[in-house]
Amino acid sequence: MKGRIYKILGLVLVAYSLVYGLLTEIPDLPIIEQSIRNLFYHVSMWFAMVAMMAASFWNAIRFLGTDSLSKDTRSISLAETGMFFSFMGLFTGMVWAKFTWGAWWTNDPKLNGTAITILIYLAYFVLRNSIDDERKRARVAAVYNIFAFVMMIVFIGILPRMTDSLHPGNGGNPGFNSYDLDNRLRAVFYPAVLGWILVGTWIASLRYRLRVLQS
Amino acid sequence: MRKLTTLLAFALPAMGWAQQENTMYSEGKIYVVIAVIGIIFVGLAAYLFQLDRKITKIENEK
Repeated sequence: MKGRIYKILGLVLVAYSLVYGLLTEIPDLPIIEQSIRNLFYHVSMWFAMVAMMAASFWNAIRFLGTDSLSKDTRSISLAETGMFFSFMGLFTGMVWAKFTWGAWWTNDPKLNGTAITILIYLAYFVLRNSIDDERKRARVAAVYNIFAFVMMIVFIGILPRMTDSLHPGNGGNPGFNSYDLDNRLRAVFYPAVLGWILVGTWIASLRYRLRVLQS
Repeated sequence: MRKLTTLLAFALPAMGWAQQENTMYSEGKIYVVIAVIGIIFVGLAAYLFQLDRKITKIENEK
């Protein structure tokens, strides 16, 4: 069946990360301890979200170039799926923060940046719903999408790295990889990220097809 | 046929566990957690496939 392989591959990778993520050996880290396994689940939500938003952004640009409404439908479907992942990332992160940093919410620049990003994307959905004419809506939404994506990169990718942050890899550190992430973690984390991106693509495609049917 | 496959998907691991009781009871019962996560995952995957099939069906009708 056409296009079925990526769905199955995505599910296999996610299943692998779910199971092997609990069994694999982990580095001995103070305070974090066993909760480092959340790396496979919590962090992959954010990677999936950024991938969905990037694909949404790409489709917004393509809409502006081609004026084809299906690109706009793809763009909104991907943004909705990205939104789902961002809420999953937010809630799982809150639980992790409570038991390692001591509070459900801290004034960490990454958390506040994420909150702003979510608000920016919520405004994207509101903006879309406020315009009746579908071509006008698609054009305004595409332009706003470009703005939203750039803001997301600034708020969760750049600003947290310029100040002190509780998140690893931030506050002037060279990145996640150098000492926090060893190879045992990588062997689960990267497949998890890829798996969730594939499953996210699948969900977005379902949303897209549903929208096409509705119109 | 589909129902049978679904049933098997749930029943086969369970039959496997019965034979490996030692595994299920060892390692601080982490395997029990994996089993629970596994059931949720299988349910989610089946749900996505079902949704996919339903949408395909409506698409074909149109």
